[in-house]
Amino acid sequence: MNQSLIIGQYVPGESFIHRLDPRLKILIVFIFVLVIFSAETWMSFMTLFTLAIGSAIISRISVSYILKGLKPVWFIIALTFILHIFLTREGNILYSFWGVNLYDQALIQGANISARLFLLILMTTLLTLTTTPISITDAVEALLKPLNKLRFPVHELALMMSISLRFIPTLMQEMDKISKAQASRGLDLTTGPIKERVKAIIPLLIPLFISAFKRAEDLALAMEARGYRGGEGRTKLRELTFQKVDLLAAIVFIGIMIVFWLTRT
Amino acid sequence: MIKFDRVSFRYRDDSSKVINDINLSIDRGEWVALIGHNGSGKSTVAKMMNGLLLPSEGQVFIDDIELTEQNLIEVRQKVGMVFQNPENQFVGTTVLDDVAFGLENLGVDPEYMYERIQQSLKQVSMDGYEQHEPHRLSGGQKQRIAIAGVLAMLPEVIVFDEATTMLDPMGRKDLLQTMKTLKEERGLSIVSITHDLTEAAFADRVLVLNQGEVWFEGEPRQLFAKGEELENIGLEPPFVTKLYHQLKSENITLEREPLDFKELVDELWTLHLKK
Repeated sequence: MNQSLIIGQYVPGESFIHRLDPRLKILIVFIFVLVIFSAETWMSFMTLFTLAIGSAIISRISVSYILKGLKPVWFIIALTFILHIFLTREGNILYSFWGVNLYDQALIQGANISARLFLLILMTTLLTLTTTPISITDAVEALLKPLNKLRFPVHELALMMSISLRFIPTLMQEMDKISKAQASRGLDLTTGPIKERVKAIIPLLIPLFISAFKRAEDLALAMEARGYRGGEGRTKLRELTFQKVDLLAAIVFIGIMIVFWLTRT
Repeated sequence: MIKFDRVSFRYRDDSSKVINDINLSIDRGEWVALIGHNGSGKSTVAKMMNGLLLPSEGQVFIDDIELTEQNLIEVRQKVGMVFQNPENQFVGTTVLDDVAFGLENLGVDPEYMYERIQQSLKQVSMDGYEQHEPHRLSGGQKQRIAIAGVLAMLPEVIVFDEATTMLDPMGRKDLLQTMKTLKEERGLSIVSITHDLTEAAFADRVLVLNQGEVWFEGEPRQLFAKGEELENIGLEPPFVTKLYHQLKSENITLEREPLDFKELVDELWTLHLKK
């Protein structure tokens, strides 16, 4: 697995952020992401940065870990900034060099977009760093529950998510085994032109798919044997509870959002 | 406990019978081994015990109640099953979630769940592993978690469908030991489906299936006495039995036919004294 990319990985901890109700966390991140795109002024950006960086500090995940993990994302942020500088042609010319003009609006636009991207990625990363995948699944199921009325298969979706999560390591091990088995038969994955290498993936994928189907069949049988009959009449071991800390966090968040709304334009 | 009354089974209406007119019964607190070579129909019989398959002809009774589509859930609570592949029956992302799965299906109040999960895990000596993910457990440990998942549902019978086949010798020994404890301490009925005659030696009673019919029914000792006949239907007699018969053909007769290594050793070292 790519060790440098931390998006989607959970870091165990006991901090305030870790203990928050996952439903609340998802809601906050969702609202935050929507709101980012209406930020225009210095003050509004400051509010959002305070919230994001504040949460990162409270989560007690080391700063260097987060920064290192965001490494691949820095490139995208830098690229959007540079593209904006060259492609925006509005406002006053600040500087001219070899016929290329640097406009003040370009700087502002570039900074705007980069800041938004950074905030967006920081907050979503914080969510997955402080919440176990299974809690996220539970929370998604709870939040989507109203859709049940529209015949949307919420329980099935959540079960699919959690089974996929459970089988990721299993299928990775399997992939490793298959690639070794195919390599021992002379399959070459590491050299040659790209076209050949892509072709070489097929003998890995087909056995993987076949075994995944076999597993699915076995699993379905095992689930049925243990009395599974869909979401009806089912109880849940883990019940999400909205506690005092959650209320506190919600109030703080609403406060910050009000400040943001007032400073937005 | 479980009773099959003239049960036949075919996968499709036009295909031939996999199971042909079988009668069998399993009593409370009894360990029954169901053996047969590949394709003898033993897994089909296992699946009919908790309604994963319903018989084409005849009836299956659980606690004197006929198994039908309507009472599947009650039956599955009473008759638990552990399958062959430890990896493919682990549903939860952690041990705790997996053991809870059956309870959640039954609609048990979450308040009672933790206690039942704890008890079940203790019974299979896997307490303290609650937060472990499946890929950090060995095959034998996963099988024990599967048993715990079944135990939490408070069953009366557990059917082991070749549950030891994919384990290493250590894991197999541990699992058989666990099965024995469950039978003795909780009074559970055990049905073990296997083609390993060494495993069959643990049973109180053995049923041998061949071509969808009951070929033999009786104690393990009587079965092993059949010697070469076993090989004719595709079963490999255990080493102890083979040695006994070979000694016999060399005119060395042990007083009684040994079932396991301990009995064999005891017979051998006392052999000279008895002369």
